[in-house]
Amino acid sequence: MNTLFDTLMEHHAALRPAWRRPGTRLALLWIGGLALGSFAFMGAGLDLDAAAASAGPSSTHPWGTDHLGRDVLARTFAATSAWAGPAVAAVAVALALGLPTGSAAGWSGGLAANVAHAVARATSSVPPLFWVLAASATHGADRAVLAFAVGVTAAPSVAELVVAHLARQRAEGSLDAALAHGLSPWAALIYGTWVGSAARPLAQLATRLVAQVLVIEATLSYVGGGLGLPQPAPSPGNLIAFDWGYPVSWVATAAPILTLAFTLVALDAVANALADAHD
Amino acid sequence: MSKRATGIVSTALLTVLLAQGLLFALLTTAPGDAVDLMSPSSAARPALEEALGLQGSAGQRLLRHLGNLATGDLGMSVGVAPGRSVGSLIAGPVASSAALGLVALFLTIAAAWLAVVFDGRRVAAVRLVALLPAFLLAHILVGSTNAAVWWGVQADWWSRPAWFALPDVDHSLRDALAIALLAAASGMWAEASDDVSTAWQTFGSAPFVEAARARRESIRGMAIHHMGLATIELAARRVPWLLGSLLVVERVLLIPGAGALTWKAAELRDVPVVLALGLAAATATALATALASGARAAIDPRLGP
Repeated sequence: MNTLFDTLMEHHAALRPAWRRPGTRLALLWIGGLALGSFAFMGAGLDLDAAAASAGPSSTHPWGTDHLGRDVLARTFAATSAWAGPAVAAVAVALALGLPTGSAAGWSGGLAANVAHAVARATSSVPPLFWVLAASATHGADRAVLAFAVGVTAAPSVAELVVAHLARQRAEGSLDAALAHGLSPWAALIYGTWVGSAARPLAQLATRLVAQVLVIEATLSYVGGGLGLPQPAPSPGNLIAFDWGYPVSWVATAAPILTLAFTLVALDAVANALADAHD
Repeated sequence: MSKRATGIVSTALLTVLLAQGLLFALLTTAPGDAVDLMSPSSAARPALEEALGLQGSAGQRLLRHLGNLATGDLGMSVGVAPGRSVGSLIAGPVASSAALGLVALFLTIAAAWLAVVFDGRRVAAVRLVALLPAFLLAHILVGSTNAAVWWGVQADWWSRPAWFALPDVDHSLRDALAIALLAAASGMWAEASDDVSTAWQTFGSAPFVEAARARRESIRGMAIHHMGLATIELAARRVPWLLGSLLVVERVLLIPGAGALTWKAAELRDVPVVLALGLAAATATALATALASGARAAIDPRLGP
């Protein structure tokens, strides 16, 4: 019987060619740097300094300042916490709801599997941003609501994926073989599906979900109207919108835009690497 | 109606009803209701609850809501235009957004085909830009266009154009920009061109195509059938993405459509309007999927009646 360690090593070996690509390494480096930067600049970039307003790059402010004199570098990295927390929470909610329901539906098959498929189709018929707006309309514009709404609406996709993998394992006979070899149903489910055949597609789905939360959070904060993160708290969206029409330096204008763009491209590269390894 | 057609229609109906039920559940689990927003006296509350259809348990309200939907009654707005019928309130914006979205969808498909015809590697950089979210691309395009035009006006190179400054002026250029953003941004075009490319490769390496080539027969008819169907199916898959972009683009470019109305309804906590717009979104997706399934059933002889 494979141990959890063996299973993880198999994944590692399958992913190795994808990780070796320079693009994937660069993407991981960028995401790691962003995470480190967000810790280093947590809570920074809030002090107003009228004397340094709209300043260009300097040794004290490498990316310049906004029109209120706040350091753009610190605020850009500190903005990561606006979406990273909700993104992790959304993935946790999606997995916590999707894995057990998908496993139950996939294990029993038939009507339950069809119901899981129908619910996934219904939730994906409406854009994720619409679900978030609807949730914000009644439950309040809050990071927790954003995470919960994205997580709950992504859970049917997780469940559908698990159902599909269980159906395939059943058709291939690997599920019955695992049970015949004395593996408990739970062990077959966890080793064979959750961290086995479905692990890489689940990781890919989780990566796409993180990117989705980043885009939704940035959109809400950019548009404003009480549904996004308001100033002075930094968010990728409100950083881009805040200096609109003010004569700040081009570095201060471009930095939040490029940071958001690079982060999305990096997440897309990681998701593609996981997809290639899965294929 | 054949068995297959019945299946397609019932799947579409089930999808719309389930989406509406889930949206209703999401909206009614929140504390408070529309009557709370009006801060009425305790004596006036029962009458208001009855007028807005808020009496009874959540299950009873859902059944009543679905019953009203069956008769075409979408309820009454409580925030955007208090007292006005939701049906009349959303009809115009939904129609204008549908027109905008359909043009954008055709443009996406045409651009996806062009990308495949003109070798994907040459458009790799454009593809990367098209992965950016709609609000960011709109911000960059509007900001750089306004800056460049203003620079030229100040240098006396040209006079101030009628559409200046974007997006404040209602002009056809703003609509054209919206269509371009809808067609390309948020991965819309990139994913569509990937889908077309995959479908073309699958078709090219299919055994029946290789056999036809070996017999020196024309594959034009097969290509039209196969790629036509693939194009319809990929267009149907893009519809939810397009609806998501519509929400953003209409709001950022100040276009008065269903997307902009959704934001307004969400900000004003107008649950009946949000529910109706959710219904419109789910119906659009279900309709597109049903059309694609119908096309496959009509074209693919293996599926039967």
